[in-house]
Amino acid sequence: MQAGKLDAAVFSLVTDGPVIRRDPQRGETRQYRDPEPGELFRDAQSRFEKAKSQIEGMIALSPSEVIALKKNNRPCAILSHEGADALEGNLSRVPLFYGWGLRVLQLVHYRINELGDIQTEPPKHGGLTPFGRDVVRETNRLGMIIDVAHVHAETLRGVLAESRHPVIDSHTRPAARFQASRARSDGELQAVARKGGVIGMWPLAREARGETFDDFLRDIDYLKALVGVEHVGIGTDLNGTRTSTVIPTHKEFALIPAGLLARGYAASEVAKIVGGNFMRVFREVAENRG
Amino acid sequence: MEETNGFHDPWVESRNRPGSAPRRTFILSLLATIMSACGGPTTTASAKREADLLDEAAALSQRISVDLIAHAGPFAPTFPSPRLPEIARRSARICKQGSSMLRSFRWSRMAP
Repeated sequence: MQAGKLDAAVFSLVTDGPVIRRDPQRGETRQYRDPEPGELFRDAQSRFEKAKSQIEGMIALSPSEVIALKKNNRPCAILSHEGADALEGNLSRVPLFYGWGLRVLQLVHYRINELGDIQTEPPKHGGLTPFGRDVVRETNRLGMIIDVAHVHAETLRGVLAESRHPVIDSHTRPAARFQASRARSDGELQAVARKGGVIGMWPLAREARGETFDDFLRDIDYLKALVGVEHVGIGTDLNGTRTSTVIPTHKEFALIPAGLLARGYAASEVAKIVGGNFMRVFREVAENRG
Repeated sequence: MEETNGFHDPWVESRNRPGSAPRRTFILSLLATIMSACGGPTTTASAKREADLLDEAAALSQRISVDLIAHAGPFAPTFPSPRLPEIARRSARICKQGSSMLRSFRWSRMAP
């Protein structure tokens, strides 16, 4: 992280891991079996316990802690779950996860869970479920950032209607520029921005299609023109994708600000994109909890 | 109007019209830009640009940078990929289907 001039990263634990896998026929990750009762919680708990010992002293629980760690030249981790599957329909686990140190909760991943529909499967619930609405309210109350990555367009509509706070979409691309099941339409991206949120640009570059780092930067140009620089961020999804990425390690993160400056972005704009916008949302959510 | 000896020169004619001075300034600045662009990059200019970028990058390092999602180290996903035996089974199934198709093809050819 330090080599890439990166101060903080939202480190996310995949919680539907035991029941999803890559489908070689469709070339996509999908659920392949139902979880056993309690299985996803136990898995998240055991993996979190193992991770905790390795990142002790790095975890930032508030925006001020991110700043304090930076002042001491120490990279920091903001904890998240990719998919709220480990809730297993139990709302009381949201404050439990907050107690573990989670400050970001991605509602869904590759499994249609108890909260709502996902981008990569035909919808089952018709958007956000009543339990999903309860979780949105609870995360607002606690001061946790909601991550809408992977949610179906209809689920997104429900989350934006229910949430009092801005949300993030940690990793996606504008569908108008990058066709993929995980990309978002202009309307969806604008809706996240209207809520005051931040859209994390996902640095995928599919070699077979000849996509490059320049394409990634051009997509940032597109998103900036569409929603405004205040709503653009970067979400590398480091180690989370089997598709080619132009940021394979955090060392390459420094290429992004350098590339944007070289394209004529003002330093103030670059600062917002590479972290300032996320920090704005983090502050807003943390300060307006309750 | 200026004496033009019958020669119609819109440039000269426009000189004293209201608003002509800003237009001239604009055209001259445009010409200057084109000429400097035709000259290509100079060492001084590119060195200055590089220095400016370095200054901007240094200023940026004072600001907070955040990756919105990562799975590094202990957070690396562990979702299973199809296991080798499963792939082998699938391949065997495809081969079997292929060979039975081949058999039925031969059969139909051999049938009277």
